[in-house]
Amino acid sequence: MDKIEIKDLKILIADSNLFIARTLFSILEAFGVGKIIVCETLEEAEKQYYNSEIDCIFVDFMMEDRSGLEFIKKIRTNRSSKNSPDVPIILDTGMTDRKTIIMARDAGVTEIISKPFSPEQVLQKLDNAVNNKRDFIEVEEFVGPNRRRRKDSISDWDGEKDRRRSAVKNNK
Amino acid sequence: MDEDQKKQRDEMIARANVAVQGAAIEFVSTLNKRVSDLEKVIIQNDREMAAEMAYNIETEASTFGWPRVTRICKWLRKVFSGEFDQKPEAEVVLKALNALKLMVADPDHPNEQRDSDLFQELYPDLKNIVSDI
Repeated sequence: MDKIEIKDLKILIADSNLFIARTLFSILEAFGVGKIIVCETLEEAEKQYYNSEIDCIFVDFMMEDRSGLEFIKKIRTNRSSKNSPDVPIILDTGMTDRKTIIMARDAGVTEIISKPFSPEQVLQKLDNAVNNKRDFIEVEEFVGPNRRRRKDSISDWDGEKDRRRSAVKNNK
Repeated sequence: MDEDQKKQRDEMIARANVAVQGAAIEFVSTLNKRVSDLEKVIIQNDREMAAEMAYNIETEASTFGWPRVTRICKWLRKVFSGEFDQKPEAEVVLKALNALKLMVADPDHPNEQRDSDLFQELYPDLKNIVSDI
C-alpha cells in the first residue's frame, strides 16, 4: 500500500470536551492534515462517518457515559457507510488502567493515545494507524485490527496449520 | 527516514507545539471559572455531571502541565463515578475542592511550593478513599 500523504488525510474527531477537541484540531492542522471534522456528540459523529469519506477517527472513551466504545463497535460491524469497517480508530483517553485498555482493544480500536498527549505522540500514532495497518480480523467474537502487532514467522504455524489465516481479510 | 523527511517532521512538530502553547494560555484563562462551575454542580449533587466535568478538567490539566489539579480532579471523577475503595465523607470532598480552588485561584501566577504542600497534606485522606490516584 502506498503511504498516505498527511495533506490528503480526512480526519474525524469525536470528543465532548471541545477544548481538547480544539487542541487536537490545532495539532492536526499544524501537521497539514487536509480535512478535519470535529463532532461534540456521538450522534453527530455517526452522521459524519456515514456521509463523508474518513481516513481516521479520534474518539474519546468517556464520551456520553462511555458510549464511545459502542460507537467503535458499530463502525466495525456496519457495512452501510462510505467508509470501510477497517478505518483506523484512535482512542484518546485519560484512563489508562488495564480494564479500559482491554475494553478498547476488544471493541476494535487501532491505537490508544493517553491524555496528556503531545504532538510527537499524535503524529506517531496517526502514522502508525494510517500507514502501518494491521490485518483486519472478522470473526464472531471479534471484529477489528489483529491484536498481534509483530509479524513473526513461526514455521509450525505456517500454511495449512495456521488457523488464524482463515479469519484474516488481508487489506494490503 | 531520510534527512528531508526528518526535517519536515521536526517542522510539523514545532508548528504543533506552538498551537498547543496557544491552547495552554486559553486553558489557564478559563481554569478558575471551570473549577467554580464544578463546585456548583457538586453542591447540586449532580454526580454524573460532576464526574464528567472533573474528567474534562483532569485531561486538560494533564495536557497543559497542572499535575496536582490533574490528580485532585481524577480523585473527584472517581468519587463521583463510584470508583472508590471506601465511601467518601463530605468533609474530605470539601477539603479536596477547597484545595483545588486555591490552586487555581490565580492561575497566571501558580505557587508551586504552596500547591505541593497542600497536596502532600491532603494525599493520605484522598488515598484512603481512592487508592489509584
